[in-house]
Amino acid sequence: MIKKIVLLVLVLFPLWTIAQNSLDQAQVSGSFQIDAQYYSIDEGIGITADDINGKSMGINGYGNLLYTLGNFSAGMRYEACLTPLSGFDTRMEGFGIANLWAKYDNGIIGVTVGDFYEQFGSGLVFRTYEEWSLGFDNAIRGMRVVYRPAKGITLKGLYGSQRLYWEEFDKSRGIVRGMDGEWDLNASISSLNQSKLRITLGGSVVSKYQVDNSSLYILPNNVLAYAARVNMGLGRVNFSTEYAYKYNDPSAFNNYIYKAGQGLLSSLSYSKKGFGIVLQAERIDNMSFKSSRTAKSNDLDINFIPPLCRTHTYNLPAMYSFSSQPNGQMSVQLQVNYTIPKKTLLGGKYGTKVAFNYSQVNDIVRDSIFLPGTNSISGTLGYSSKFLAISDRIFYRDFNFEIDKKINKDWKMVLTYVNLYYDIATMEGHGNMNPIKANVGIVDLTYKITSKKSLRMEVQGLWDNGDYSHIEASEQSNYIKNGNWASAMLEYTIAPRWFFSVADKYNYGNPIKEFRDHYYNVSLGFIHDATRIAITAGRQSEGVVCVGGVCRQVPASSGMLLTITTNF
Amino acid sequence: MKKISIALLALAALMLNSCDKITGPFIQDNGGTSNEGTGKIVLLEEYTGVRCPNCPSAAAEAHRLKENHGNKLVVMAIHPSGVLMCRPYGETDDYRTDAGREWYDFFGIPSLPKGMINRQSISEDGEWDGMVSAALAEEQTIEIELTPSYNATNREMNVAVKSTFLSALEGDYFLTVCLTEDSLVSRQANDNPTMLSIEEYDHSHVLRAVLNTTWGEQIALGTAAANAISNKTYNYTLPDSYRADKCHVIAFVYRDSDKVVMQAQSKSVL
Repeated sequence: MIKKIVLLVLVLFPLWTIAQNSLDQAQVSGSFQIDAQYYSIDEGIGITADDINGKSMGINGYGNLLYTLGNFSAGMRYEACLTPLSGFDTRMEGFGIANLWAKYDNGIIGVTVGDFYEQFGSGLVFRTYEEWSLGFDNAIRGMRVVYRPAKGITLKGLYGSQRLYWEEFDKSRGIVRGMDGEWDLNASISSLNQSKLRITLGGSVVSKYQVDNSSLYILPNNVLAYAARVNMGLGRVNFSTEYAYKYNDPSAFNNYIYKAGQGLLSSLSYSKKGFGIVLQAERIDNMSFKSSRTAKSNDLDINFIPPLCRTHTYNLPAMYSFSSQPNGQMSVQLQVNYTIPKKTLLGGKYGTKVAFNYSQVNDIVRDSIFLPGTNSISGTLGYSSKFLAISDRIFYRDFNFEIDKKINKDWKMVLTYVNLYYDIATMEGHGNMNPIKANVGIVDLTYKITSKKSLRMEVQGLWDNGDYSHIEASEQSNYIKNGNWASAMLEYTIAPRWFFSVADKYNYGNPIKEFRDHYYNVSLGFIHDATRIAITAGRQSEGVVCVGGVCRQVPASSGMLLTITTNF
Repeated sequence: MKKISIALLALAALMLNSCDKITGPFIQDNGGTSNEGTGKIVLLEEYTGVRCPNCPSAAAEAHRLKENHGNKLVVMAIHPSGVLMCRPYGETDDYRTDAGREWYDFFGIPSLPKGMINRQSISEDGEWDGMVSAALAEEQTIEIELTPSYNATNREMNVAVKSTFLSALEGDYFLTVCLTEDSLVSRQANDNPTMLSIEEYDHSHVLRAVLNTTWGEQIALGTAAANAISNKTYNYTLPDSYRADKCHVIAFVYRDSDKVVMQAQSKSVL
């Protein structure tokens, strides 16, 4: 860590001395967050002293610092997770400078050294990012060059190794090298500057290198993936598509099969004032791309599989969030937004917003060459799959409809209906469980008491139609969140500083009687300028937290959570 | 600027070439079952359960490694007692052992499936290949010879175990002798969405019994001189349900201080 600090000083100091006259133009900004949870024994929801195992506190914290002076910028992120909050990967435990970088960019050429995040196209062959709520960070440590040789043309090149929690880089981990080019034809070609047809073309090449240390398989030291994309717009219509291909990449994630991977993502949209429609489709086949062959879960992901489904924010439908399946999925999504105009029968005085969303994700069809029942046999091509064939197996389906209506100057209402199909066996790895089939109804009412005070009430019901007639005693623990739920929340806000809330989730229809528990909590929050402090006391139910199709499982817990965030 | 563009394009062209396309064969030829049971022999303990959906793919990996390394690798599939995922579906598929549970608890196995190569660390099946090759490359310090005999009339098995220290070693060393059985066909949970349960699954390398207690018998105390020999014999009566032609005797010697297995050996009962 001391070496890193010395490096930072060495990078910053000469620049500081040279540019003393400009120092008044320098800017320093940053953000901090601390999440601290105290865990208590709560046998009512099955939290025993053994579960807590002496770790009565979990604290996750980070601080970001950014220094900018003209074309130069540098930054760092310090993290301390001692011990990590329950539900986060235990490998997060530790503290130190997780991210350190410096960048110079004059608009034509930009160079970054250190840790950085980057995305090519939609991410099908390359995306590095950080998501605090998941404990996810696959930053590249290395170098990046961005070059803009002419108007509308951007070329990027990078190489480095990815972050895996606090593990030191060693030669057994892969090295990632990538290039991306994007050409905005309308910006480049003067005759197209004013054209109604807008076209952007792009292409990416990513290669990973990891030495073949296997005594069993004959492994590729270098694995290449490439992608081509186009984005076209004509008036209000927009179409974009990206196709990705990955050469043989046997790994623990795909059970060491040598089949090539493919991905296709397409989107067609139309929008005008008060109306928007988007149709998207995606096919993913064997597209897990990691910088280590032995990595599992979300470790060392080089690419990103965009999920085509709505991200629910209300807590009951969010319990069953979709998790992307890099080994294979076929997805489709249709989203329609419409605002019923003001002063019409349905629009009323303020207009009414309605939103419709349908998404479905199925498995791909695999013609296994080998044993029935096994996914694939390692050390072979694995399976064949017709490009457009869709399996009968549904991973996820979500049909939802939302009405957002301002009733009068004091009342606002959001009504939501959600119909969910959730293949819990695939999404959460509970092999013998039947899919969740649920209807969810949500009423969200806001009453403006005065110009500064408001009261918000949220009432939700989830009716689970799953088949629970045969649950084996040894598998009961997998059913901790199944069955019907009711949820209510009351939130009182005194703008701009205070908010209070009280909430309860009740799993009244759980097929296992012992799991019919209340998960109640109270929260108090205070906001001052850019600082927010919130305290929540009570119970948290078991579930999943998903961001962009990447999920982590959260166990049930009881206790008190303090969150402090600030930025400057 | 033009030069930079050309340089970047040249780099892209080079990267397009940075791909090793393997057209087959995909598996190395390590001699397979023709390997003689001499030299360094590695133990792979596979912690598994009949209700564990992710276990078949781990077992397939263990099987693939066994096929590839032949007698240089000894595989033992452990179904620890008292673990929910190991609970049998019926009366004939109870593969649980209390010894397995003691090891499971002692080493702190967090979930199934997991493995241990020479009891050095807990690992995922995707890591086994590299760990087995690393363990095989280590120096052989002990040699084990197994001589089993079996009386089909009274189902009694006798096994003579000769352990030879090839070089002088410090520390306490223990010998553990086990019995495994192959081709036990019964139901197994699976993670394939199209087949969540395999009714006629072939369970192989299943640990059935430990012949000389969970942690074995001491064969060296404090030091062992080069060429020191330990001779032990054990008797065991096979229960009626065990098929002698599918059983193997497994022996391994481990260092007591860190429980690391120095050498393993396996021989079929018949």
